[in-house]
Amino acid sequence: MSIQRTVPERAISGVEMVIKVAVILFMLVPAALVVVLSFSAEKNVAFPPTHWGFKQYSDLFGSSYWMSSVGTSFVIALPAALVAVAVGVPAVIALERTRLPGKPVLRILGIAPLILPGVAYAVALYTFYVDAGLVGTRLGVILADSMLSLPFVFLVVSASLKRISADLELVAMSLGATRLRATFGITLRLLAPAIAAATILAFVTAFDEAVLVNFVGGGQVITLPKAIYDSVRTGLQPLITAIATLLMLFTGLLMFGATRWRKGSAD
Amino acid sequence: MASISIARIRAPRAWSAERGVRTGLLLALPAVALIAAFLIVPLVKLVSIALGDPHGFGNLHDFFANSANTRVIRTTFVDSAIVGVISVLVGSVVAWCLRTTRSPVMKGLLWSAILLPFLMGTVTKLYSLTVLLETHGLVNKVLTGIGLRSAPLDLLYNQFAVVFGMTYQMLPYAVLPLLAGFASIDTNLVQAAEGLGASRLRALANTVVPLSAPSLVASFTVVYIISVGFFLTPVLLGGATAPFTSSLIAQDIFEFYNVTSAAVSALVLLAGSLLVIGVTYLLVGRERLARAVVS
Amino acid sequence: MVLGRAALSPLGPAKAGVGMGNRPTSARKTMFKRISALVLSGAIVAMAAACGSGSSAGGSTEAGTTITVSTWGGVWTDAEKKYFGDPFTKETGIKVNYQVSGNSPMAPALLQAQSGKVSTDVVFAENAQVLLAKNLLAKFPPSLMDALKKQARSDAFTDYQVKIGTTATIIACNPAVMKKCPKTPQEFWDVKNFPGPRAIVNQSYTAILFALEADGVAPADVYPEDIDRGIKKLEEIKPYVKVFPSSGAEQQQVLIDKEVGAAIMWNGRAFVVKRDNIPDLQMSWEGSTRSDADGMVVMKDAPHRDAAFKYIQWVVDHPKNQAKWSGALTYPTPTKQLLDLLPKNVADALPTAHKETLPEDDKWIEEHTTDLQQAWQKFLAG
Repeated sequence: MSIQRTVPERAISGVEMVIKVAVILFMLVPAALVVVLSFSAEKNVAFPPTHWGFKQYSDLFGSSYWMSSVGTSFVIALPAALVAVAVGVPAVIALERTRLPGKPVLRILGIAPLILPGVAYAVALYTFYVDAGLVGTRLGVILADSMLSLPFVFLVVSASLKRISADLELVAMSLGATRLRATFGITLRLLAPAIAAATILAFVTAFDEAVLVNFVGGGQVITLPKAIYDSVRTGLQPLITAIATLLMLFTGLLMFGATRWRKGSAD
Repeated sequence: MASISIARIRAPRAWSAERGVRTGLLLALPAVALIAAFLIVPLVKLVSIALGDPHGFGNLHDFFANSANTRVIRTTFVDSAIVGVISVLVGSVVAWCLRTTRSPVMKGLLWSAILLPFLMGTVTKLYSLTVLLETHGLVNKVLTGIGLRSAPLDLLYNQFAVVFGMTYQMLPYAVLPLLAGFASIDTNLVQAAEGLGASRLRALANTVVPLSAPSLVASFTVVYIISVGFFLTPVLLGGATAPFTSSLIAQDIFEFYNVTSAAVSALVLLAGSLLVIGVTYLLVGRERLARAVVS
Repeated sequence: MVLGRAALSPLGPAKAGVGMGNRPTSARKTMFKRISALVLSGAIVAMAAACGSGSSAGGSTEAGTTITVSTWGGVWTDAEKKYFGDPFTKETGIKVNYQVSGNSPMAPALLQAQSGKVSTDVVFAENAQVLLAKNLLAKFPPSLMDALKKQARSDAFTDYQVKIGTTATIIACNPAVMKKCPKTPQEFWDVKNFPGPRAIVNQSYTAILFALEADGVAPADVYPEDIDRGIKKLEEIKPYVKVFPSSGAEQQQVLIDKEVGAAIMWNGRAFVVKRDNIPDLQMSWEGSTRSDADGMVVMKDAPHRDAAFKYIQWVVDHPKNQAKWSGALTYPTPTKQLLDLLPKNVADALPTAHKETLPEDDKWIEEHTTDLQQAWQKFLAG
C-alpha cells in the first residue's frame, strides 16, 4: 500500500540519511586515517603524507621499548584471562547448577566492574594496592585486569550454560557415568566453545586495558596501551599508527574467532 | 530441572540436576575470594581514605567548598549526560535503520561503523582522534582547504574534544542495547499507523518510541555511567585545562601525591553513578537495565 | 571494559556469523585441543616471566643488580642513557631502569614513600628541599663526598644532592608563527601587540613568577610570591594559552607542531628544538628564572642504595661524559672542568652563564607546596 510522501516526510528521510552517512563517516574515518598514515614515511603525523613506505613498521619492530611493551602486554593479559576464566567458570556453574545461597549478590558483584565508573574503581584499587604492596608489580596488574575481565566470563559462560540442558547429566548418570564424569564429559564439553570465547574476550579486554595499569602499575609496568598513552601525552609519534593498525588486525582476528566459537555454542 | 521423587527418599539429591550448597560454595569460593579482595576491600578502603585523614566527613565539605571542584563535578556530570543524550538519539536512528533497512550495503556499512571502533583499543581511538582534531590535523585541513574557515579551529584540549571523544566511543555502546530493544518491536506497527493516516514521524512517535522508552532510558544510563568514569579521554583529549573529574584525580595522585583528594573525587563519582543506576532501576525495572548492561 | 560487548550482543555481528556446523567435527576438535595447549603453555611461560621478574635482591652492588632512576624522559633521558647509564652498565654490570615522569620525577618517589614501599633508588629531584623536609634522602657516604670535593664545583653539591641539570625557564618564540616575538614577560602577556598561540610550562611557582614579573614586580621583590596576584595575572592570559605542557617532551612537541608560537619553557628543551627542528627559534633570557635545587638524590629507603651511590660516583668521576651530556642539553653538570670541556656556544647557553636569570627560592616553594598546588589546580580547572 503506497503512501504519499509529503514534504516533511521527505525531509525526515533526508535527515535520516544524513545521520546515517554522518555516523558511518564519523566512526570509520579515524580508523581509516590511522591505517593510511601507517604507510607514510614522514617523521610526523601530517596529512596527507608526501612520502610513503613501511618506515613506521620498521621503526616499530626495531624499537626495544615498544617491543618490550608488547611483550609485557602478553605477559599480563594471558595470565589475567586465565585467572578470570579459572575463577569465573566454576562460579558460573555454581550459580546455574547448584543450590548456592545468595546468588543475586554474586551475580551483581560479578558484573560490578562493568557498572562502576572506571576511574573510581582504579583509585579504589590503587588505595588498596598501596597497603598490599602491589603497586608497580606485574602480579598486581594481572589481578586487576582479571577483575575487569571477570564480568565477561560471567556473561558469556552463563548465557551458554543456561542453554545446556541440565538433564543431560542425569541421562549420562542413568547410563552409568559418575557425577564427575558426567559433568566433565558432557556439560563442560558443551561449554567449551563458550569458555574459549570467554578466554579470548578476557584476553582482549586485559590486553587493551590502559586505565588500571596507569594507576596500579606505578609507572613501572609498561604495557602497550600504557606506552601509547604516555606517548600521546608528550606528542604524537607517527609509529603509533603502525601499532594501531596491527592492533586492529590482531583484535579483529581474535574477536572473529571468539564470535565463531560463541555462535557454535549458542546453537 | 526435574527431580525424580521416588529416588528422593533414598538418595535425596543424587538424581537432581542441581548440586548441593556445599558444592556450590566450593565452586564459587575462588570467585568470591577474588571479588572480596579486589572489589569489596578496595571500595571499602576508598571510602575510608576519602572520609579519613585529615577531616573525616569534613573532607566532603572541603571538597564541595572548593569552587573548582564543584565546577568540575558539574561539568563531568552534565557533559556525560550530553554524551548520553546524543548517543541515544543518534544511536536510535542507527539502530532503527539497522532493524528496518533492506539494503545489504547500508546494513554492512552501518555494522562496520558500529563494530570497527571496538577493534581499536581506547588509546588508539584517542590517538586517532587527536590526529584528526589537532590544529593541523585532518578536520582543520579540510575546513581551511575548502574555505569554510580562514584560521584553524581549536578542536583539541578543550571540553568540545572530550565530549566529541566520549560520544565517539559511546555510540556503539548505545546502539547495541537499543538494537536489542528494537528487536522486540514489530515493524508492522509503523506501517499500520501510517495506514491509519498518521505521518511517518507521528507513526514512529506513537508506536516505536513508547515501546522502546525503557530501552532508551536504560541505554542512556549505561552510556552515562561509563562516560562519568572515563579517565583516558578527558586526560588525553582535554589537556590540563579541560575540567573533568578524572583529570583532577590524575593530577591529585600523579602530580600532587594527594590521595585523599583523589579518593573524595572518586567517591563523589561513585555516589552519583549509583544514584543514576538506582533511579533507572526504579523507572525501568531490573530486566531492562540488565539487558542494557549486558548488550 | 571494551570490546567484549560487541561479541556479547545477542544479535551479534551478522557479518561475522559465518555458518558453521553445531557439533564439533573431529578436525575442529583437534584444532581446539592444539590451541588450548598452546594457550596453556603460553600462559605458564607468561606467569613464570611475570613472577620471576621484578626487582632483584636488594642492597648488593654485584653485577646483575638493577637500579631505578626517576628521570625526566625524552631527550634528557636519551642523553643520560647514552653518556651515563650505558657506559656505567658496561663498566660495572649494574643495569639502569629509567622510570620516566615527564613533569616531576619527584612525584613517584613521594607517592612511594607515602605507600611505604620505595622502589626508586635515584631521583632527579626538581626540588630536593621537598624530599629533604620529609626526611626521605640518604646522606652521601664519605667516599662519594671525597670524590665530590675533589672533582666538583663547591656550589654544585651538598651532602645529599649532586646538582646536575640546573634548569632555567625562558621565553622561546617561533617567528614563523608569531608576527612579533615577545622577549620579556610583559611582552609575553601583551596579546595585542604580540598575538599568537602560547604555551606556559605546567609548573605553578614558575608560571606565577613570570606572571608577577609581567605585572611589574621587580625580580628582587618576587619572593615571597604573591600567589593570588600571580594567578590573577595568569587568568588574563589563559584564553590565549593553548597548552600547559605536562612534560619536557610536550614542550618541544607543541612548538614543532606549530600548535603554539611562543612558549615559557625549559631552556634545554628550547635549545634542542632550535638545534634539531626550528633553527630560527628565538630564546630570550629576560625575566628568566633558574632552579638551583635540580639534581640527583638517593632515597633513604632505596632498595639498592650502594649501587645508587656507585652510579652517582661514576658520573662524578667522568667529567668528559658530563661535558657531553651538557653539550646535548645545555644544562650544567658539576665537574670543575666543565667550562674547559664545553664548546663556547654551549657554555654561553648554560643557565649559569646568564647573570640576569633569577634563582628560584626552593625553600619558599617547599614551604608553600600545598597552597601552590591548590591555587594551580583551581586556576587550570576553572
